[in-house]
Amino acid sequence: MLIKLDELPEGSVAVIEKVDLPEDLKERILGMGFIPGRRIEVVKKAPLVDPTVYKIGNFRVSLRSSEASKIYVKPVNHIPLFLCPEGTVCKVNALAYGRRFLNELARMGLDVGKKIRILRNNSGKITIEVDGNIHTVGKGRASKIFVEVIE
Amino acid sequence: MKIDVAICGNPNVGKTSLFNALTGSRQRVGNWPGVTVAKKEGYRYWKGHELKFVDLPGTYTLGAQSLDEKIARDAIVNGDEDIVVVISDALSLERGLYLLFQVLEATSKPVIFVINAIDEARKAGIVIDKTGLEVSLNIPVVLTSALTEEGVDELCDKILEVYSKPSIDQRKFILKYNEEIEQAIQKIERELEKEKEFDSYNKRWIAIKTLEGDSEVLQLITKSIPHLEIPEDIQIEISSDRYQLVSNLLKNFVSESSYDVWNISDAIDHVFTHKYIGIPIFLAILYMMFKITFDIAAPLSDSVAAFFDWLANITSSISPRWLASLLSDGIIGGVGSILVFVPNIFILFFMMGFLEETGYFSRAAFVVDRFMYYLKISGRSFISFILGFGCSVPAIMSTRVMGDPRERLVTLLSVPFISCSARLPVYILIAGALFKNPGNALFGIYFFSIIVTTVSILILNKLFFKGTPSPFIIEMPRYRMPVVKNLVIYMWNNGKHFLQKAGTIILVSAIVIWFLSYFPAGNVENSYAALLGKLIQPVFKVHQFDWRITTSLIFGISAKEVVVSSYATLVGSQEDSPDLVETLRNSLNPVNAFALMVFVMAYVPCFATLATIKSETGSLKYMLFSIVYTILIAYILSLIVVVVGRALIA
Repeated sequence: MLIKLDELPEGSVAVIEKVDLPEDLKERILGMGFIPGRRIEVVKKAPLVDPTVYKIGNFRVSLRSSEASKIYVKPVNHIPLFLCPEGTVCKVNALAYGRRFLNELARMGLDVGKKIRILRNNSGKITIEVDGNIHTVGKGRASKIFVEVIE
Repeated sequence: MKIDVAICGNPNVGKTSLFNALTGSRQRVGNWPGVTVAKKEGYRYWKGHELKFVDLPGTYTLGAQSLDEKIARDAIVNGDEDIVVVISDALSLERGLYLLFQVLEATSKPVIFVINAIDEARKAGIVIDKTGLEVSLNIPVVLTSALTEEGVDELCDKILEVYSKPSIDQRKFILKYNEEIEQAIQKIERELEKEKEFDSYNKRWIAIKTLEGDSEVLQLITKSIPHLEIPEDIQIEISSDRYQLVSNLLKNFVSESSYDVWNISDAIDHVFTHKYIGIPIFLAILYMMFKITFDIAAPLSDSVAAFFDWLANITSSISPRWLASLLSDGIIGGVGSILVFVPNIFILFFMMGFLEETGYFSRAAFVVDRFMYYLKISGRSFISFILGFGCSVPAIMSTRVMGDPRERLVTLLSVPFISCSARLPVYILIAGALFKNPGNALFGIYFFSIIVTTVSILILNKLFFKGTPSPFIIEMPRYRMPVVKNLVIYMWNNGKHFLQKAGTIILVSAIVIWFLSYFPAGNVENSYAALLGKLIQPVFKVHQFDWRITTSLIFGISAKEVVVSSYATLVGSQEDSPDLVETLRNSLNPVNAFALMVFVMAYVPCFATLATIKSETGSLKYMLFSIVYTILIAYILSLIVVVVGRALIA
């Protein structure tokens, strides 16, 4: 259920669950307000994708994914695909970054705005229907596809 | 009476602006003892008292992670200052209060809480209940604006009041944590009480810092108390409790803003950090900065040059002859050729100040961070390298903000390879004399210097460390309109180093060079200088540099621009006279001329840079390393240029 902060796409809102950084760095990060239970927003990715600006309260701070990947969060506005129960229909809201990843999805016909139906979702593998075609996605991939449940 | 006041606060809260508003031009930039990090002090006379302000480095916590944090914390905990002023930004009070709690825990000195940028807060419709905060925190709270100077006098009054009546002030507010944390604190406090050596320490603070996993404090106490149990996750709970209290205070005493003050900032950021145009904009800003630096400065530089020519003309007719020569060739010629660059340097620092004050520097670091990531350093060092184009000294000094000492060392030792403005006159002279298109040669050498710097970063990372990337955590402050007064102070504080350099190192080296080139025979060909140059000339046999060039290179160690002035002295002509260019043309060809430019670009940083490296690293070792390292690289590279260049032409 926990997602690494760096996996969230721009515009996501999440709640911080766990900060897993080395002690000294943790003190600074905590001092900046990265405290479990607080809301965090993904504001902007740098032109070369890394680092990313996050917003906590009205404080904006840039973190590299090497650090952000050690901060675990629970998404608020989107949920990752693997959390959707069988039988639901959902809309793709956002996709995590990764060129190869995006290419793969494009081949499946998956893009932001597309509707997908969850046919099966059992431990690790999710079978989905996109435009009448059926695909199977692993949990890793499914944690990078953010959706909104429609029905 | 003299009252010492320490000023601390988060970065980007207008701390420096308020410091400027408090002290005006009565500032002195010195060093912190031992670590020799720049220390800014300023004075104000107020109602018969002398207030002395110390501007502590900006921090978010009082940890021991970076040098800046350590300095701020040492001053707050153990410093000689009578009063601590904590400055916060009215628009991001949250972190300001978080720091305030840590300061209150750490120090027994009276504390005053300043909420700055109150004018902006009012515009945003934020109402702050000052009295409510004062009562809750039990310390004086002052609302200020560094821009309109509102509240600055009130702050001075409060300082006097707190100083003269310390009894009414404190016991200040002390944060009470939850039961579990308090028990853990008390347990450590009891342990500390058993040990005599902690008698003079603030035991509660030591206990809290221990629980927070502070490396310095842990080191201090584990010697006496080896078996300490620190409950897991208590560090997070401590921060969490602090933030809980902060949000309670905000809820009770600060009203929400009626509109988002970030709207404009976000709109600007949408463009400046844009996926596609963010990097082009960054490059365009860099280009404009240097264009303005050199184009606006050109007429000013010309008039400075004209003035020194006129002066040298007058002194050259004095008798005796040696005095005339000392004055016009040595002192006026030498120092004059350096002062020509004062306009460039001041304008450059004005622009740097502009980019820093507006908040763009953080964006620049953000946008290009990924490039630096490949070099195992962060976008923050990029700023130091940009500064290096102006002058290596402030560039090296700017590495202080880096949390990671390894990154800092690598940056600091590689910065001298960036072509600073002092190298420009050497390039201009050589390129102008030997290349049909001097602009291309200039571009070539700047490009080359960037490549060499990059390679140096890789080498040093490999050499000293295995090179894990350092964390890059940098705040994106909201954009602000810079205040001219602050820019002028920034420009002066940084630029005056160059003037001092001209007044001291360069003046002395100008006189020494003149002496060596005038005595014993009264002419250059048979002087001591020539002897010295001829002595090392064989080393540059392949390069085919003549003794005048090798002699100038020796003197160039004092400051790069001295290469030009000493060459002029050796040739016995004025710097911009046709003779000088003619002599150069006769002694060099385009290939070894470019090799000479490369050598000048890379070899030994100037005295001032060497001194800065020594003071910033606190060790002679790195200074000596830098000398050997740069000479080695300069020699090898220029040799390669000569060999490859000849092969290409032949």
